[in-house]
Amino acid sequence: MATFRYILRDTARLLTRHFAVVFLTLLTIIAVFLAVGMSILLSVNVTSLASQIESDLTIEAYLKAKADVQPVMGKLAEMPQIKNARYVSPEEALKRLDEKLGQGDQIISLLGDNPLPPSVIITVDRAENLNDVAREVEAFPEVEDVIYAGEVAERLASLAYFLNRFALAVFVIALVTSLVVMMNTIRIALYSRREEIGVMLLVGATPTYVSLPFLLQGVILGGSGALVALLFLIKAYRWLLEVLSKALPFFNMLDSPQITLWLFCLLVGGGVALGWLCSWTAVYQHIRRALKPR
Amino acid sequence: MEIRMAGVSKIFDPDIVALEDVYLNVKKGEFVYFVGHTGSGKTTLLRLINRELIPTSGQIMVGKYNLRKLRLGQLPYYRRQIGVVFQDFKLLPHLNAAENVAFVLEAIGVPKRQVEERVKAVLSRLDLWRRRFLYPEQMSGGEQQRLAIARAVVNMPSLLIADEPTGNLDMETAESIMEILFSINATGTTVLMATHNQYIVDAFRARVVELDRGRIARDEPKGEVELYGDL
Repeated sequence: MATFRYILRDTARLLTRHFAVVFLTLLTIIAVFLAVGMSILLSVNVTSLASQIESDLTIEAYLKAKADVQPVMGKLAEMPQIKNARYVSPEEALKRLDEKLGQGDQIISLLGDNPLPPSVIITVDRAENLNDVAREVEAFPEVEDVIYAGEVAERLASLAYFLNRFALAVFVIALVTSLVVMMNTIRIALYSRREEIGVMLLVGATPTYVSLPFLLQGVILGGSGALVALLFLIKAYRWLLEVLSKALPFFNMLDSPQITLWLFCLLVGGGVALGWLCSWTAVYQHIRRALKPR
Repeated sequence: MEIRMAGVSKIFDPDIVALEDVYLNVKKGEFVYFVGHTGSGKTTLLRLINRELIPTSGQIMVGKYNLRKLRLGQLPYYRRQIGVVFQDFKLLPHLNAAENVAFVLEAIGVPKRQVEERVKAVLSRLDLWRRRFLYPEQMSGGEQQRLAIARAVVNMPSLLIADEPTGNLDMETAESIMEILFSINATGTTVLMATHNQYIVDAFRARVVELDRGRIARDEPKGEVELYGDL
């Protein structure tokens, strides 16, 4: 109990003794974990969007203005890869747009008429059939244009791949930066107390007893820095969700308590682990040197 | 604690011979003065016994410990059996007198209640209990030295090493420190003390080992000794 009390008291002393250095270290850790968190959020959102689009097995075939829908539906019914085909009239298309954007009336008053063409929404049985079916339907004389997720998904997938690599690079750079900064902070604390540590080791204190306050200092710095970064990040992400839900309602960003929990574990866990690792490395180097007889 | 040194030499880089071929036996409960000029090897010998240094050649046995073979993990447990009074006290400036003594016990995991009892006992014995809340810089040289001794003996070591414990003290204070060291020795603790002080060696008789340029020049059992007389 006395040892525990000593460790807590000593940790508090370490955190307040070189306050400016500790504060700067904390700011660096916050900045580093903000960068890591942002790159992770960006990466997971793009990956999620790509997989959402990829899993969309529908093709929208836009018909020419005067085209007869019956022959189209007949040809589609004969294609085995098609699970479902549904005709969407211009009126229904306008209604759906109005439900999504709430601006249907404005469009009609602006253009004077409903500009949306008739279309057929086709659902294929498997993702790998998407391209073949789209090409075949595009060749129908009644069809003006075909839109499907394949191409967009491919582009997003390559963007997600790049962003994953980018997030990894940010993570590595951040890791190295925080390692250097935190180790230097711990080393400054060790240097300022080298005589005291020397006396402690001379009177029989174990390396664990001497090092625990420094380890705790590292854990508190890493953990609290990451926690502050996480709070900033959550606040900013909530704000972005709100803005994007109005500006780009069709863009579904990830929004669930699991994301917060996952980010908490990753950032705060990472901060704590990083703090412990830096302190442990710096302290044990110092103690080994101090204990080693010359 | 018994000490046996056999053929111990210590050479610092570059080729500075601090100790050369030293053979020495100290029985359990003995009081031994180490005397000699500055640079004769007294402090090196004490630091070898405290395992701050490792001999270049030779063997040192302290109790059951062979200091050559002592692993780093065993070192704290070895040092807990030794009390050291440093020449420059090495008191921790941010701790008060009681805390300076208590931290040694806390560091080795003694329960809080026992820490309080033992700190009170040792500070009372060294007449520092009333001064327990003072910080080292608020204490006189004699008080700081007594505090350093209190810290060295609080965990009841089998061996007490004192490097010039009366070095910067007036005669009266030096005598009181010696009385304390002899009273500790009377409880069975082996005491090794490095000193330059002829008066102390004459007034408080004990075995005297004189070192000269790293070698044992004389080893006199309890008796009258003139320091550096034949040198």
